[in-house]
Amino acid sequence: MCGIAGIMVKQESDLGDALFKMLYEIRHRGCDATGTAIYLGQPRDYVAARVSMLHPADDLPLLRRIVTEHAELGACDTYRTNSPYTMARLTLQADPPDLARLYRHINAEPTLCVHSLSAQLDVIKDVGTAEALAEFGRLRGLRGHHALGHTRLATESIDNLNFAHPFSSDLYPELAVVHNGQLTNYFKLRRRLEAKGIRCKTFNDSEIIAHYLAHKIKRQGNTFEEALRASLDDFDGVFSYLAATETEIGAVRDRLGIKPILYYQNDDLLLLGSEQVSFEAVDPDVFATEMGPGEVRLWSKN
Amino acid sequence: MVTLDVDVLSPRALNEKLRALMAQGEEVVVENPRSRHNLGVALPGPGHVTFKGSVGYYCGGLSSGGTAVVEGNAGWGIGESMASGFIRVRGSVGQSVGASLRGGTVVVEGDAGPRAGVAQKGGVVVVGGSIGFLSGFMAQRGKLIALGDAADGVGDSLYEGNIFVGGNIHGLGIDAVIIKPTAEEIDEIESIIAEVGMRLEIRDWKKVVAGRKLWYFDKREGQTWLKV
Repeated sequence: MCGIAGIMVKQESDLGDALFKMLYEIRHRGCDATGTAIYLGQPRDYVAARVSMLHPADDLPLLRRIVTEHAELGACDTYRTNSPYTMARLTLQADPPDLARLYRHINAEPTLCVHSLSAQLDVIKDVGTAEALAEFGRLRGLRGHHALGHTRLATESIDNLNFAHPFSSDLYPELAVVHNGQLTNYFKLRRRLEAKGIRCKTFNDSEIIAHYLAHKIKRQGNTFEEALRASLDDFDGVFSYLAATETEIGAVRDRLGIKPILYYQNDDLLLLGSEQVSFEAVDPDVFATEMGPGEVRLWSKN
Repeated sequence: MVTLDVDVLSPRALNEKLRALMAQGEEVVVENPRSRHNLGVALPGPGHVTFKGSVGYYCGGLSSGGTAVVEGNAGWGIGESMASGFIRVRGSVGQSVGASLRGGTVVVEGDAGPRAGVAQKGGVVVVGGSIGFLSGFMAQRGKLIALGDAADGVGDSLYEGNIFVGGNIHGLGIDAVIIKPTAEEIDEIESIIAEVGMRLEIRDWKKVVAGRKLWYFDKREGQTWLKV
């Protein structure tokens, strides 16, 4: 069991605060780790990266060396997470092709793991509940139009910061995925994508969703919606997942309708989540609608 | 009348107090339920409790008596495995209302989500509005009554459960069949509906029961099983 959450607003506002409340209310669905993916209203004129390091004394110089091979490194600082990892926050300048190479180069190092590498998307994660995340990741006060969140109960892979959601892909660093469920054909999917050159960083079945969608969109020319719909045929198991791009949020529920996913929308606001209780954290009068089995929904901020 | 506040008490402490009060036949009001889970689980009779707002998952589950009113909506599994008692929800409910219900009555004035009355083993679930997909799945006994529509897959893999639908049926589950209820059965469900204070506007009751093809395995009918 995991908890997922999503939010989209017409007027740019402080998403971090609403998302924090929603994730706090579903902390009982998973208190192993909490993560958010927040999209800024406009891309910055630089790329921001978050990379976790196991041995900062050795890994930080290594990370700096890798970054300067592909990009112009700006600021760089670090903070301790609640896990054995230290998170590096970097700013840098690079062209998109270099960025993809940089993403892959960092992830090729066993002790480094990219969580976000984008001018628009910030992924923040930590082990523990939303309270831990708010303190260490400075979740509050991040402004934008849309965001995803996740509370993790580790079931299919280890309880580790690098295995926490949201996941992204080197093929499409602006894509973020949060997932509740189990993909029973994970290894089949993974072998298929690896044969096409995809490299997975973790053994989390949710990571494969990000690579799958990124591959469909960036390599096979599918639209976001086509990729989401195709996943219903290609994924086996029980799953509800949310995926977001720079402008859209998509929600997919498996054909048996086992894992919950609810939504609420009015003219200004879209909320998505696993349980009614998290919607009421934002607005006490909201009654969310449950998505049907095999349903795919898409919302655009424009 | 006694008031308990969810903002002050943990679910465990609240339930312990609530059980003790209900056993004494008290009228209890629960304030600020805020869609929280596991409120009012395993309630005894003969008392009465009113939840002043929406509740989360499993409210009234495992109860053996008493009456409960939710003055809002309810999440998954309201009245799950209840042995006897009465629960009324003024709003709508999420998945699996009355799951494994063994006795008593659960009344939903609004709509019910998917899998209403799943694995029901007795008792009555009355839904004023519609019921979601796969409602009545594998129900063994008891009655699930929907005054509104039934979504796809109603009555999938039924045993001896009975589903009565007043509105349209958007699709039957595997091995489910629609039959016309007898005049006695219609009288019975209409008196149940009147008893729980709902308005009657149904002209065309449909009863969904098991086609009994899944009751015995016959390899010549293997295709039926593969559809599951």
